[in-house]
Amino acid sequence: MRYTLKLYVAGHTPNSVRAISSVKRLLENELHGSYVLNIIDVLKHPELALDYEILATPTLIRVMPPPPKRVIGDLSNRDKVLRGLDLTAR
Amino acid sequence: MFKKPWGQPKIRLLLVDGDIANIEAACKALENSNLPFAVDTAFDGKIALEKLSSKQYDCLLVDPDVLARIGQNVSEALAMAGPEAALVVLCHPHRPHLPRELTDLTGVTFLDKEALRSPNVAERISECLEVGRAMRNGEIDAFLVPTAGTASPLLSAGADGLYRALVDALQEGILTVDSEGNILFTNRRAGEILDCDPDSLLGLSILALADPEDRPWIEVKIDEALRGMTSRCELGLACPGQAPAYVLVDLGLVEDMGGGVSGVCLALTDLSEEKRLRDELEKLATTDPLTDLYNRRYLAESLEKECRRASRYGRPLSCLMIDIDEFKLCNDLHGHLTGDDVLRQVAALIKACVRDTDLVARYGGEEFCVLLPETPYEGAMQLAERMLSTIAGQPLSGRERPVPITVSIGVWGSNDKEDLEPDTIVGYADAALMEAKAAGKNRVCSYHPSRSLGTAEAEASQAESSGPLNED
Repeated sequence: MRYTLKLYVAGHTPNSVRAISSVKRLLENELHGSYVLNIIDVLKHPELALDYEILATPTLIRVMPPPPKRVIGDLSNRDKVLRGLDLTAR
Repeated sequence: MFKKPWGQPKIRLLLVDGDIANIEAACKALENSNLPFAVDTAFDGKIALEKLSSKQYDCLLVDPDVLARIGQNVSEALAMAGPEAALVVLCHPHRPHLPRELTDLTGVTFLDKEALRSPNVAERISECLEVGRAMRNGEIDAFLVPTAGTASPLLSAGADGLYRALVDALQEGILTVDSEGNILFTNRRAGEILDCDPDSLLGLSILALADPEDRPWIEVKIDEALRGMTSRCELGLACPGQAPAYVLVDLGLVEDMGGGVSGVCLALTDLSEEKRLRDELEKLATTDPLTDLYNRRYLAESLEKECRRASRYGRPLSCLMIDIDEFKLCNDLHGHLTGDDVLRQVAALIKACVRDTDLVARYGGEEFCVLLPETPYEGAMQLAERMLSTIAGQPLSGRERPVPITVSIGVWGSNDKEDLEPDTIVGYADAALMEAKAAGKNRVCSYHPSRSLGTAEAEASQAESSGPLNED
């Protein structure tokens, strides 16, 4: 199964930067490349925040498979993210 | 949070909205959800204030207009609810601007009013509370306010506008990567150097951008930086689908606030521009601006190289000295601008006669020198004759009328293995040129070794005999 995820960040703020790093590492370790990650900067593309009714950044959303699952805020806690996205490690 | 002894903790919610239908829809959906909400409602500001002064709430969902009607604002209402309470502001999706006071509150989240009528309102509210919690913990950078057709991002306090502006003003491209080489941060200049949107680089691996040959190299350098060494390298980097840029990279460790390692900073200096300037400078230093031929300096360097090469390998080498006949007269008759045109045209004609491997230089005012590597004397003579007739063959175009021009050419050529000296070669060719001048111009003369230098005029009478004098 291939996961599709979207990570919403706001420019280059420290939390956003940390979120990208954490999510990349976690997905690589847990899903071993069988995923697609889109990183969306809401400062550049605020309209894309409407697609999944994003309230704040950083937010990570599992888009595929449905239903969408989301984690908001700190994404460095592996268990929190895996639980929040209902990801089953391969 | 208030915890009932017999069940799961309830989240005490006060919903303040002037629209009864909204309240009814939300209450129904919240009752049916399995999320632990205890809902209280108020449809006008007075009721809301009474409830706030008599009861405790964990979360306020407020339409600010309802409070505004009785001269209250949300921050005062929130203060009444207590320091732990979360605030969710209900906003009208078609109103683009929010009251200024709202954007200054931290821990506030915004919900589209229409969400109250949605069946998943409980999930939406619990998400708002999660955002509020994360925001109070400093985990949130920006929150998004739904507005007509889009969302307005509001940066939370502490987001780094100034720092951002400074980094974007730098002339170096800045990238930061984590320990695996994933790009976490880019500045404006990095995008310019790599000819792409700097944000499109986020999340990509620096290793994937590096030229395949440079990949192990950059990996080693990042590793060195992670160990606290400052290091530097030159490499080719290319954004997907773009031509690579050649950059000088200075790498350094980035520490986080706690002194831990947060990644590596790469400062990129674009060497493409430097290389262009270097090339331009070299061209300026080696060429004659008027004729675009090489200058004397470059000729001297090349002459020395070619002499060494020819001597060592016993290869032939020839040299032509060319002078425009009656150039001073031409200037006097047609003006100096025409004189310049003539110089340019003669230069172009000389270049057109020689091979790519031959070197044409402007030697002085109206004198040119051609160096012919791998060319024996006979070949040089043939070339000189051809050049002579080409130039004399048709008048050059002047400013007002055509200008008839001829040249004189002195030829020196070596067929044998000799010890060649650059100065002597030019001297020999120049002596032959003097002969051609003395013998009446518009002709080719070659140097004869039996004559010593500086006696050209004395022997002018014999100079018309063309052919290989040095083979007499």
